[in-house]
Amino acid sequence: MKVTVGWSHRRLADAVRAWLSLSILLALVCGTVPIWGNEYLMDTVTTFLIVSAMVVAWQTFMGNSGIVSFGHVAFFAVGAYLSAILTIPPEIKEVALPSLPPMFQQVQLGSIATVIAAATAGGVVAVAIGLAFTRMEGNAMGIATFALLVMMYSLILNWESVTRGGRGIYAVPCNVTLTSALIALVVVAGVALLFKASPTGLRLQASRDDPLAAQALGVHLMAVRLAGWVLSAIIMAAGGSLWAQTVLAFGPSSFYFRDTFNMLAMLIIGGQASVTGAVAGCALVTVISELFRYPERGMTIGFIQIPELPGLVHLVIALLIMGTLILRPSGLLGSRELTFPAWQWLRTLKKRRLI
Amino acid sequence: MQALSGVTLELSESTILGLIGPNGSGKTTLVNIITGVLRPDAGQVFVGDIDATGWRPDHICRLGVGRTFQIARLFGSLTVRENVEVGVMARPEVDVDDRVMHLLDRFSLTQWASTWVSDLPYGVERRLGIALALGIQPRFLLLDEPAAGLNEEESDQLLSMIRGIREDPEFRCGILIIDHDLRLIFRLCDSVHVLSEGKTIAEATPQEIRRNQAVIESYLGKRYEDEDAELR
Repeated sequence: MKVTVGWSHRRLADAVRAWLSLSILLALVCGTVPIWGNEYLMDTVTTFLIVSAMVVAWQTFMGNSGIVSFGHVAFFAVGAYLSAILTIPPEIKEVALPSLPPMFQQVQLGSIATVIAAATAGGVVAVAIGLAFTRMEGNAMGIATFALLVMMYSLILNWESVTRGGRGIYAVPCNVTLTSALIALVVVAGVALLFKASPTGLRLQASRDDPLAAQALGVHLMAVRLAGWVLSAIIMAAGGSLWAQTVLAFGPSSFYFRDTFNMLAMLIIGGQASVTGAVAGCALVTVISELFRYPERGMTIGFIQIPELPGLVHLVIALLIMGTLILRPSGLLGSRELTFPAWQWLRTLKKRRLI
Repeated sequence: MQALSGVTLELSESTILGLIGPNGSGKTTLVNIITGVLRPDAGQVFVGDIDATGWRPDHICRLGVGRTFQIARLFGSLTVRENVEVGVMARPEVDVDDRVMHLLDRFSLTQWASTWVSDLPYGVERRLGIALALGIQPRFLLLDEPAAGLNEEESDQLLSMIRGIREDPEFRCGILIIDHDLRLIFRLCDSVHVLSEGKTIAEATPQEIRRNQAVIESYLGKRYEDEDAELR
């Protein structure tokens, strides 16, 4: 069956298998969470799923293009702030954001419409910026994204009529559950794997390895980079929207170095070239963060008193990054995607005409 | 300093043209100009009737010009199959999987299909480079030192492969081949174009080029009084 001209059906089939494998694994793991009846665990896993979606978004551009982007948090911010504006009840906006344009003062959208609006806004901003950025050589573009991070932070901090500046946004309704976060990550992973398997994705990966050789095979560098950039931004902004509707209150500090560092760490540790790696990296960093949060705050184990150790979590994550880059530079999963052995058995049985 | 001056070269479909000359004579520079990697200060590049001077490499590729590089430029983080797919996908009207399998088979790469390019032996890399360029179904194929680093047996296999490409109705492309292996050039090419210090010093059949005094002098650095002297 021809799906579309120019696609490799083999790559498409591999992507579908990887997606199903990852989705089943996520569903199994998340399905056990409510059994524990622990609300903190539910919140942590919900946040993990949403942050994973954003790390996958980051991977969609960075992993396929090989261009390090420090500025993706800008799209996260676009999604988060726009969602706050679209979902906070009008009577609260009247007090908290009195200078908003009347159109935004009165509107209150549901979760899905908000996510779509946020994704669209992220895409529009990405096109505007990407048309300039993707003309640059790879390294120059990476540095330019750093400027994007700083610009967006400055904008958030100072555009008080829309963002409330340093005081932060509050009263965002909680519209996201564990189930909806799981569905979001499954959809995002599907889109990311589809892009990776697509002709555009493969051309972008080729440009990552050797831009000149890629051009010699007809690859339009700017076009493929722009495609990856915009898709990545759309997903990132959608993730920001879901995140805002989970944390319910946030400020500019969530969209600067700390979160950039955390999410990049997840991607580097898990494997930049792998969607499964992005999720695995997020899981590992989340677990480590939770484990070391207790000694970071100081604790007593028996008669041993551990003092407060501020920054311990970030120190451990930084050491993990260094260790990964030294011992396994391609990350835990490299460019491999999860695929259950069962798929290989099914393929073998089919080849032998046993099924 | 001029890398090239007054060089005119014409390649027809279904012919093999050799381009030789000492190191630094401008051979690769000429190929880079033709394929859009470098922009010439003067002169023009025509692909058929289309003036492609100064076009980007991907634009020129879409006109039907494929090339390999002096040092194999492959996509190291992709498998052999994926490398070939990149070229084949330039022609969206074809069935990608069928075409990829066909090219892998044609160039004896099937056993390496799932191997990472970074793990390939040198000779296989060279074959893969040619398979990549042919994936775009070029009208003109430019091979930049395809025999570099190959032993005599591998060089003979390469010669058969290139002859096969010219004779295969599937490809029918004009082939420009740069190489320092004069044995390969003289056995393979319909005609030979010789550069020295950025200028054309001869264009003729291989037999005539072997005996051309100017060519001999450019390679050996001195004139031979013996009229029977020839390049081998």
